[in-house]
Amino acid sequence: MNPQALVDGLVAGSMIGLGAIGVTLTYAILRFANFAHGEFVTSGAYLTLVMAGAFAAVIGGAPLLPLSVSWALLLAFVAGLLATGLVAILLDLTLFRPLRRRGATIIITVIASFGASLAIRSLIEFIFTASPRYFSRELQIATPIGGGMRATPDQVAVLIATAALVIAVHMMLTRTDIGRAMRAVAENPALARVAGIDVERVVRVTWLLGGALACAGGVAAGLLVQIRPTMGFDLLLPLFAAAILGGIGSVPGAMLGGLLVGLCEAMAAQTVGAEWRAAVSFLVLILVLILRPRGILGRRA
Amino acid sequence: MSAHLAATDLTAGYERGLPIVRGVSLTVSRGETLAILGPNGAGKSTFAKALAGLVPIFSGRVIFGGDDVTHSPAHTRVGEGLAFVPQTENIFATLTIAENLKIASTVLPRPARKDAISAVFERFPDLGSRPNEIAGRLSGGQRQMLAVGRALVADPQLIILDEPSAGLSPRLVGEVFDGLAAIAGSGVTVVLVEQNVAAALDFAQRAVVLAEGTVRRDAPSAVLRDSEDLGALFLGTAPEAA
Amino acid sequence: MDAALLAYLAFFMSVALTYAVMCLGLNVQWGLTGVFNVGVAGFVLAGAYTSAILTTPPVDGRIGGFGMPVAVGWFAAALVGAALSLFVGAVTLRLRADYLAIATFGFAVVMHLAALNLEPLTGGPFGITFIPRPFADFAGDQLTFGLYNLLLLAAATAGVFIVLERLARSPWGRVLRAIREDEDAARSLGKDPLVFRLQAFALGGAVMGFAGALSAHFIGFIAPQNYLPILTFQVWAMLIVGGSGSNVGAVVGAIVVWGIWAASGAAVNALFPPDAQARAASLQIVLIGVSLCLVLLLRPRGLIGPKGVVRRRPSQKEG
Repeated sequence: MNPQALVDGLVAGSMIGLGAIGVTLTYAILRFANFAHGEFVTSGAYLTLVMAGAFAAVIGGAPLLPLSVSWALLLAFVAGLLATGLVAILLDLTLFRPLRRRGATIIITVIASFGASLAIRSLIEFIFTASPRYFSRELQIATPIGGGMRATPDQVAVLIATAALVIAVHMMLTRTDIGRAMRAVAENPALARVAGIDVERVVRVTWLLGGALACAGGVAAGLLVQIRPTMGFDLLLPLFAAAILGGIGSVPGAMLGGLLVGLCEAMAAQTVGAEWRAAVSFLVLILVLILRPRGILGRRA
Repeated sequence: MSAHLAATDLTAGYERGLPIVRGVSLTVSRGETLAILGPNGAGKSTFAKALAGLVPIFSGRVIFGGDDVTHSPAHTRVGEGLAFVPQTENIFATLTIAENLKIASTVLPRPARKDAISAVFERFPDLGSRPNEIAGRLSGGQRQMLAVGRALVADPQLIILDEPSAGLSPRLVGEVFDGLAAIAGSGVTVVLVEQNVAAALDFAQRAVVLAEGTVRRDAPSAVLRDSEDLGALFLGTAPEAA
Repeated sequence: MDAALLAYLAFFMSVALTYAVMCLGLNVQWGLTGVFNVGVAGFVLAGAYTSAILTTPPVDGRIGGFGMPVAVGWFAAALVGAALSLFVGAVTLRLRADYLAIATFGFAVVMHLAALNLEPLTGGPFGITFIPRPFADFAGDQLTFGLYNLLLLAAATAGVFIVLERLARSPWGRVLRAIREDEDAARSLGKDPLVFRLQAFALGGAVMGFAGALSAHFIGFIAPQNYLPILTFQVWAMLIVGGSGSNVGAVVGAIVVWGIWAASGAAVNALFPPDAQARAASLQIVLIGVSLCLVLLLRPRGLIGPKGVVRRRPSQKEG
């Protein structure tokens, strides 16, 4: 076993975890598995790419060494978080909210999300074509970080940023009015309404947050790997596996699930071969569903 | 006494074409205590939920404090002073006691919230002694206290309770009704949906009997208590009359 | 009518009918039982590869190639479809409805991965060629060949259709509908909903596997890229447009949606220069995706669905 798998797994797991938090929140609060969530990851990466290009034209795109990231990209990333959150809200307003109003079954909503996923992915492919894009052409050297492991400065930055984001989201859910309201709606929407909570507002915040975190995952993937129209859809199965492994509704669970799935993938890539990477999530998923359907940190349904 | 809450020819239910409440009209005066009685399946719970904004209203009107709230969302009614305590699942079991109350306090202006929560803790010392306990671990009686406390935090002028005594031991039922008497004593209008007819008639000044989604009796509690056909009303065999 | 056009129509209808059989399989699971399968492509793939491996002539360096009769391939494809469905269903059917959706989605991803990577068995990215085609003796005459194959596929579709219709009207089908209407009531009559759901899920999987074999033998070659999630999506679009719950709707939906798909593909070819066609094709998929969402929003019962199949959700308890 090569210790490098630990670094690779944690880095991949961060991206999965960021996306899985959005999946677990929308699942807990809106009560359906959103098959379009991967497209938020992709949208976030492309929106940030476009804005980074625009900002770089104004303020220049010199990297902040040792990172490959420029001020323009950082600025674009912040704008991308917001923009992707708005994309998620827009999809809710045009598709999921009307279905909710009509009292459509979970399954109809899931099919609709499947259709939306396909439409968004193909739209991105239409606009940007299928060829991969990159935030930066800078080459990064992986430096030793001890224990026989190596990491690039970008990888370290992604790990730190992920940890910061997850802690921020966790604090928001446990310490703020809107966070408490989100947990209340997740447990009992009818009681939340008579307790004075505007459920539609909570739903909007959930989409905003889920979209923004998906964007963070997408930008991390774009920074460390590449940007492709199918990047989010390819991530969908790991996202679901991580969310269910962690326990639906649990933010720390989703992050933990993401890291575990990432580590399993990295280990499988070393032992069985990288071409089987995608099967790992399925295996994890099936094992969780058989052994502990409520996940590691989930409560009984 | 002025009308505090009025329902006019109210029809409501979960699905259009299948109304459970069918043409109910009644008025509650400010400061009054009213019991809504009736056999199982009479539509009492659905009526209460319709007043709270949880069940779609197909026709008729709900006037609260002079404003038409027929189609206003449930969460805005709370801010206007209309509180509702559901019969079951009436607390957030995964949240702490303090979090349950904090959530309910957000309808108040920020400076007033802390005092409102302290007031509930004073009223129910059992809750005040352990604010960080997960609500799901509370006993049946304590849950009911928290449910009522959660409604009281929002400083309501009118509170609707759906069978607050259901499933409680006789001693706890007594405590619940004592608590309700204290709430009513502070000037809050109380509307009570109850199966426990004797306790409800002892508590409320007036009672309405529903059967098959319509009003069958509307009279002072004392009159109903002595009414000979009260039993028949519950069996659904009494003639329709108002 | 000239022969080339007729031959094309026969080809078009033949493809539509292979979709129709997939749609019928999905209708057993969704329309009859309310079980949600997002891995249609995986079950179709399994059937196609099973039959191809059994019926192709031996090839050096490849496992399989047993040269068996096509009918054996068809039968084995259905069997494998059923077995895989039993496995996925046994794990997920007792859980929430959308866990099944996620698991079947993952199943299709894994099947695709297996077809891509188990090269000695599946031929890897290039797939399997020289799959025996029925009436190959007539292959020289496009029209005769096309019509004979259309007849065969029509007979197969009709066979599946009749069997499913009879099953739907049988006591077994009535229990399934009862479970769909009111699970608790069915349970109180001593019917274990899980067992019946599993049976229906396996039956649907068998039909999908069979459809995979039908299409593999009709086209003559298969490759992993024919079984991407877009296939699942197409079959769903067909069932929803046709109106779920009806076998007639499933067949009509398959023909209508395949017609729209083929026509829009032709329009893309005609309207865009060759170098822009790949991009235009993605626009075609956008339109189809948006259309499906619009149907779900505006015509939830399908465009041609039967009347009176709206199912009431169990109403809430009244106290």
